[in-house]
Amino acid sequence: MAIDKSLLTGSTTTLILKLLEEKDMYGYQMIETLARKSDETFKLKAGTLYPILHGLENDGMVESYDEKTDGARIRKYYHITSKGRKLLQEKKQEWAAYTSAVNKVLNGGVSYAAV
Amino acid sequence: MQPFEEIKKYSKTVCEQIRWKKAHSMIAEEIENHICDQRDAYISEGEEEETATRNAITQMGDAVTVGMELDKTHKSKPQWVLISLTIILMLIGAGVSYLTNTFWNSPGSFHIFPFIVALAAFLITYFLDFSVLGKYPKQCYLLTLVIGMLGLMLSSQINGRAWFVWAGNSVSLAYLSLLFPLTYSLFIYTMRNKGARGIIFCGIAYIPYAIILLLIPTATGFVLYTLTALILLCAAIARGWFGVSKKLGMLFVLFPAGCAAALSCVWCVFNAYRISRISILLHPYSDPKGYQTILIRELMSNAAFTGKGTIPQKYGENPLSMSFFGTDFALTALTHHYGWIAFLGVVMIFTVFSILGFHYVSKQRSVLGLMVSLSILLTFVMQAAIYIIDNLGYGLLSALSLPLVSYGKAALLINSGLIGFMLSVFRTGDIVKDGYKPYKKPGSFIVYEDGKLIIDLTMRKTYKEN
Repeated sequence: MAIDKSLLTGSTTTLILKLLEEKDMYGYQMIETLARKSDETFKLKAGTLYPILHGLENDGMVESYDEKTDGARIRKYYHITSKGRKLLQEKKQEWAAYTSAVNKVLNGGVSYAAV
Repeated sequence: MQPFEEIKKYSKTVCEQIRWKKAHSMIAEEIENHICDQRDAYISEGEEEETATRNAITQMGDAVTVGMELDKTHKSKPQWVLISLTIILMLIGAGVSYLTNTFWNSPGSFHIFPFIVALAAFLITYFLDFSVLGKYPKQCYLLTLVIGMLGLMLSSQINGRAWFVWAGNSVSLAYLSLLFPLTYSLFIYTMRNKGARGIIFCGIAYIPYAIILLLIPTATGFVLYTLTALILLCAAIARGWFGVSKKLGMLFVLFPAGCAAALSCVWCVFNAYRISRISILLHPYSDPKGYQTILIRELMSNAAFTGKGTIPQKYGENPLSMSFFGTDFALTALTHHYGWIAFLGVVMIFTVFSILGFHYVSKQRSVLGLMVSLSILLTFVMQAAIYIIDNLGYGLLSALSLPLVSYGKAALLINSGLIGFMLSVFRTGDIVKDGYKPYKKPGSFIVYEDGKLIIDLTMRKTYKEN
């Protein structure tokens, strides 16, 4: 399987799609949820998030809609599309293959994935 | 500086890096809302508003870098290929008009002015931006309805069809069928998120336009409008824009449509004119009214691959001098005069235009963008298909117009304006916001979310994606 060479930086996209697979979210909510779920390991900057989100929207992986909050503030929610779900599955497989290969090297030829 | 001004200053710096100005307000709003959310979170943790705002802005990252990244994503798409094809079609139209009025149908007078006005209409609607239609969708629907009704009341019947005659100029009301799909698509747009009720209202809104077209009467216009309306409704349901299940929505539309189609077939069987049209199509030589069909077929079958074709002697030296060759059979005349290469060239341009059009329509994410562009493209494609089949001598429906090519000032002007709007959708459709919510299928009352198993004992609707 072809492995994305920029997998580490590219994993942000996978994480965003994974969050949206569970439910529709707005930008701030994504950052908070990601930080909480990763025990504060992934503290995504908003300046990194939005260009990725808008790029995903341009590619048809996610779509957005507005919803008013109680305080009359309009929040832009993102929703994963079926195309986005497909990409997420591919990214997951890619990640599994990548981590398996890394583990195999780190553990002297034993693959955790194969155990 | 006041805290909120600092937020504004940050979003302004971000937007300054984005060259496409139309995207600025959307991006600024999202960024400002994000900073406010972050600021509120810091305040709830005990920070002062000023400190909370400053920290929230710092959390965003460098404004210039963020703006430069967003600039890569947000670009208008001018659609140079489609613009070029539009202009080529207009030039072909001007050429056909010139030939019709000089060589084929002398003495006549060729005027370039209608084509200049058409080009201006195209450019105006292209730069005006289709989002203006989204601001007054119901008004557009009603205004067109009023125009149609007034047109009918003030029209004169010429050759069995309603024409509006004013100060020596006449316009066939059949061309209203080019506008109805667009304004009907705007009505569908207003019914988004309205559930089954919205679909029923769309069904009701279809009727007045259909009645006007039947009263004109224009069978071609009626078929064009009906098919476009049906496809638009199905597309809206398939994308979940009414907020109802796709199966239920399709049933709401296809069942009455099927019944209406069956009734129309029965009506055709008992309609003498329709039967006569079918008879001419199948046996033109044995029908006294089949003269025109035979002439078209013989001109096409005697056309060369390149260069001028031959004409059977019985038609005289210049049958192309008949006026309908400039309007309803321009492609036949062109093929006879320059050969099948001209026919294939024109058909190729229409095919490429249509394929590219459908490609860009499929990429539209907003309800307004898809409804407007699909309605215009379907109007364009159906007009062209009916015209081309007619010009081969096998048309069951009378041609309305070959968009931008066949002679007819009103059709030329309407089609140019419509295409301008369609290309403006392709150019700027990415930033249109509709406020529709994607439809989600009702799911199980047991949901796994955020590492928790949630059992909804209240039987409140929970949702999951397909």
